Amino acid sequence: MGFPEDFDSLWDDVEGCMEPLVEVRETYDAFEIYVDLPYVRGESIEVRFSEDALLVIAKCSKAIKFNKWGFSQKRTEYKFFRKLIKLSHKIDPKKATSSFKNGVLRIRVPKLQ
Amino acid sequence: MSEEVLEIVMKKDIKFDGPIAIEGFPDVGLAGTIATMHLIESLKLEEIAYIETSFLPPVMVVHNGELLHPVRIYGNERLIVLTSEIALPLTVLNPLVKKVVEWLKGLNVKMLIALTGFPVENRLEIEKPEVYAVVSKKEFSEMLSKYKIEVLQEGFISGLYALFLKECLKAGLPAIALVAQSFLKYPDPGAAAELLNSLNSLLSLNVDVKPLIENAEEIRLKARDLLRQTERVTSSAYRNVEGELPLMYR
Repeated sequence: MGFPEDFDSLWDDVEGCMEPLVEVRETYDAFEIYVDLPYVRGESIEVRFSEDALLVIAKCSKAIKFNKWGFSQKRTEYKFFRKLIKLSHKIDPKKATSSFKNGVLRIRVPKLQ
Repeated sequence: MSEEVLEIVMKKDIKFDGPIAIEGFPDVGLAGTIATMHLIESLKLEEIAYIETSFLPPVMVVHNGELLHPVRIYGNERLIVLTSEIALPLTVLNPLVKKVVEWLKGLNVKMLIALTGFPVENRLEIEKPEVYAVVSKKEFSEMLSKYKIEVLQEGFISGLYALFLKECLKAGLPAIALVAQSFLKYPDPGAAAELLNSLNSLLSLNVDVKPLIENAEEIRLKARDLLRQTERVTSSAYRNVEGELPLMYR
């Protein structure tokens, strides 16, 4: 299954979507992915896997608006995060585990051997 | 070909009285930058100078309708705080740090304190980040031990604060770096709060760090772009050496 390409800016003022900051750590047999999700509660996170990527979508607990920022951003309500994370190796999503602490999502997914 | 420009432009005429300088330019987890911005806001410090340079991209920043330079200096007679709202490319670091240290020396600054973070893999598990110090003179270790701040005894340091310490050492300007355990890839208001707690002890300040914790989500959101910029300009260029054991370990 394929995913749409990510955008370059962290803020998409057309969709009201934000790209989260992500850290991917790789060991010999797994990936550990950390996704920074301020204003998100654990139950609002959806993770979809493909054979070598994952898509994180997380709804914010409230719409975020910066009334004085920019030309077009000030009219935008940012409501969710979305990030496509491509990995350098095929993964085994069935064995993935995750946790969410202090607004940081941690996903551990083994590589497909 | 145009000449390179790098100068510190004063906006206010201040009679400095042996001030302490604090540096919080963007670096690991933006701990120092978040800390200095909170310090500026809490102490209601005024902008006293800015850095004008052709080494940086043509960027200005607008706050409340006012046009400002992105690398600014705040303060009063006793305190000077340097901060930046844009990442500082590697090409600017050497000339910028030399210029700043030379300028501070000329103002008879008593000491420079650099605020920064160092990345720890298990930061997510750490409730209260620890703060360590690196000192330009061994004698400061005893003074810091009174405040229960552990001083690095062996190891490499790298990055902006290493450069500040090096230039301060050369210029004979006393310097300390306060370094908090921090996230590498995300803004870390918790690390910034611990840096300010240490600074509160050292300088007898009374900066309330609670807003940093209470507004952590907002800060993390607002600091994302600067963190990504900082990562882009610094990744792989330095930092790799930290955590390595020096050959002459004693």
